[in-house]
Amino acid sequence: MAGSLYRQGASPAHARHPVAKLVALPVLFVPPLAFNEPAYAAGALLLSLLMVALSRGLPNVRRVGALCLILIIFSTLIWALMLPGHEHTWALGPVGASATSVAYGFAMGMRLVALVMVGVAFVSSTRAEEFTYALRRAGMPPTASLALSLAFRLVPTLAETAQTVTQAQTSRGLDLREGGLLTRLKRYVPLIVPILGYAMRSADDLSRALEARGLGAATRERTEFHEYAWSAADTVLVVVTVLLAAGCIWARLAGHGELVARL
Amino acid sequence: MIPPGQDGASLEAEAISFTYPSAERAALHEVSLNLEPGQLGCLMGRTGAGKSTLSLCLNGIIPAMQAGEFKGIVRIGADSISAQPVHEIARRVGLLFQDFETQLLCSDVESEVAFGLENAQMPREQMQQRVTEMLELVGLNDLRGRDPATLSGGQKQRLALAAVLAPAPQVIILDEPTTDLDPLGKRELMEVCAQLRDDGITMLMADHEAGRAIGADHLTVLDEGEVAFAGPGDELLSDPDRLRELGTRPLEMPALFAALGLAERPLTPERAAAILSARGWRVDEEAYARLADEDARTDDLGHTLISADEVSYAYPEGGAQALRGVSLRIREGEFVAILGENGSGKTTLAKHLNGLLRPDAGQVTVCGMHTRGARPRQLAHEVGYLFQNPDHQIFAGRVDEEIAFGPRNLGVSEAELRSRVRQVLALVNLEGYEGKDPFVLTKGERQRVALASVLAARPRIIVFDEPTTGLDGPEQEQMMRLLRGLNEAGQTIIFITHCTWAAAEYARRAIVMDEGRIVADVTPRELFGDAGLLAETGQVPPAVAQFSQALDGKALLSIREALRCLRAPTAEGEG
Repeated sequence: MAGSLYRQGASPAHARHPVAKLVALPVLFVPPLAFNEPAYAAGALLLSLLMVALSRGLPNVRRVGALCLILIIFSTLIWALMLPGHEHTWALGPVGASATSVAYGFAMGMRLVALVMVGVAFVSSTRAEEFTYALRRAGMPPTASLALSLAFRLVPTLAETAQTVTQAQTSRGLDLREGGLLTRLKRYVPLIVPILGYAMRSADDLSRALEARGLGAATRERTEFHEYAWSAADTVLVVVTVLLAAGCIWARLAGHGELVARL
Repeated sequence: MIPPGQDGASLEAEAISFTYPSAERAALHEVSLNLEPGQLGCLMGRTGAGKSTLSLCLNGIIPAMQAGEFKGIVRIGADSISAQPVHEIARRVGLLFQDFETQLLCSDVESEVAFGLENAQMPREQMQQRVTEMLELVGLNDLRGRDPATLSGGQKQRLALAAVLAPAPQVIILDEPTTDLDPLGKRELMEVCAQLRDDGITMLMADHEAGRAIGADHLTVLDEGEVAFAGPGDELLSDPDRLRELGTRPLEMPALFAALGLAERPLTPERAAAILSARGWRVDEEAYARLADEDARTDDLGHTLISADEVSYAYPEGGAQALRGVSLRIREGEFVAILGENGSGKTTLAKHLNGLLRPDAGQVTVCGMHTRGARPRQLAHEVGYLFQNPDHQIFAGRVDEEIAFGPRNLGVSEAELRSRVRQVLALVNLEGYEGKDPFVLTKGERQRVALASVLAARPRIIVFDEPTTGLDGPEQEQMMRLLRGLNEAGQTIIFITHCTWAAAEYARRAIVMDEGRIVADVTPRELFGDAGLLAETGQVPPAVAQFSQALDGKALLSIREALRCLRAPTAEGEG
């Protein structure tokens, strides 16, 4: 059954102020972005996994496991063959690979997975309401911030519908694994039409539900049910992550963690 | 419980007309309705009669958010609201949507209740008090931190009601609030509504079930967008023929008394039993024994088609343990109802019977194939599955194309397809619909198109997930008669249902699930005649079974059975 990635419970990450987490989120993207040398990329990945663990989000790692595997395999393959400006150790016509390109591709895969894990840590420990609150505090208009957080809510709902529709058509003998590419694409029509129909009805129902619960009035101002108190730990989180990011940028500029001279 | 200042206001709709864009006829035509402060009104009518459209007019969504031609006036107290923005009207009129899940927007229970209060800019301390009051009212205070998506259907419905009630509206409109609820969920919701009524809230409840109108102050029945009846509820509820004409399944007790040729029209089973008991009516022992003999008949059943052995299943990613060691056998020609509360594992079990889900432990065998190793297409040959919502499967632009989809996947020739399409359309009473667009049909018709598409594949077993949900009374009866016809022709039928009258009247075997286990696998008579089992499984017997229990301690399952078995003292009636 599909569902939200948010994990209920208490953790150091759950306890942080939403604004502190919203600031820390992009800052924590810096370590994986900073280095392209595999050992450093692995360090950034470990750091992101530590963030996930601190957010009680490890069960969510399984849910994005397939995506992560695809990222690592494809990144290694594509960059191994496509990295510009390196000498081919193994060549087949115009394409070829080298130890450097394979290492770069593998590191790139780990970096992408690390970015995903930082996101997993954030959504595992941050409720949609906290996200909306933080965006509003960052200056986003109330309706825009709410729309963004509702979009997050609709993703698991839509995934659940997609699963039901797939089951309904499978039980009518639809087999998506058969035939050539065009045949397979055509076989997706019985899935796409009901799913799109559902998505459109949902969007319509949601807008009515929001209005019927008084949202139109909130374009001016809303009060907050949850109280979010800023603590010393939040300051520590922001300062430590910013220092960490600055350190990573400094290290890279000093030539550390650089396999090739590119992002 | 209800704060001061929340006294009910009158609700008045004056000559409301509405036509959807490019519709051939008006969805509502000069509909008027009037409820005094604190009154409970009931709104009934067949599917498509205009109940939901009227509900949307009463809280301003129509005309503000729906294109179309609107005429008329809606007043709350002395104020006309038709020109006000919806979010302003929302403070005075709360609407519980038919599809209540779309109304749940937040990631925990208390935030859900607080959502409308935040919009109304209520100060935090006041809001916290109000949220607690509302959660206490609907009995969800212990679940305030839970994600609404993890609640049962009944709990979600009560949460949606708490969220609607929180901003203290003067009028509440409930659009078919019990449709997806199990008997226990329905009872809990009705208890909350009864309390609101005691507190003086004006309420209008749209519903298919005639029983919901018992005791209402006012009943309005819509038919094709017009008021077909308006007046005291009990008057119409006593007239089974008129109710049926208006697209509502009649209450069983007035229908029974009419069939017995008696003058009284008691609305409740208790009252009916008291009347007949006082006159010396009894259930005939011999006739009742014959019913029990018929229940026990198995000589018309074939060999085992489905067997499940110690099946356990948990949804992935830390999901709930949905099945715990379930074992059962289904024989050819059986007609089985699967009952149980929301979240008890009914649908999970049913999806194991055609391989949509594979067991974590144990095994399921369908027509000799282990589902774990079989391809979905092989299983689709043997087991058809009709999902609760036909819109989850309908995709084609023509009815005949939709119906041909399944058998075509299974390799049926085009000539044979055309013949099958004709046959199944006749079976589901949709002859002449071949070229129609399924999306413009009514929900009941779409449900029949979906059924036809399953029948056209000619599976040996058909599993129905809530075949009557979303249909009006006559459509429900038509659907169940269709199922019985198929079963009598040799089709093996398994259906999941909350509708106890459907299980009682049509099924020959009742399986009751609770927390992923089968807690009863009996005949419907054994289930609905066993007070202990009913209490244990949270099932509520249909009115005719309640009546016969009260009269003579026996479980009659339908009006037909009651007519066979009830005996008047020699001086009275023709029972």
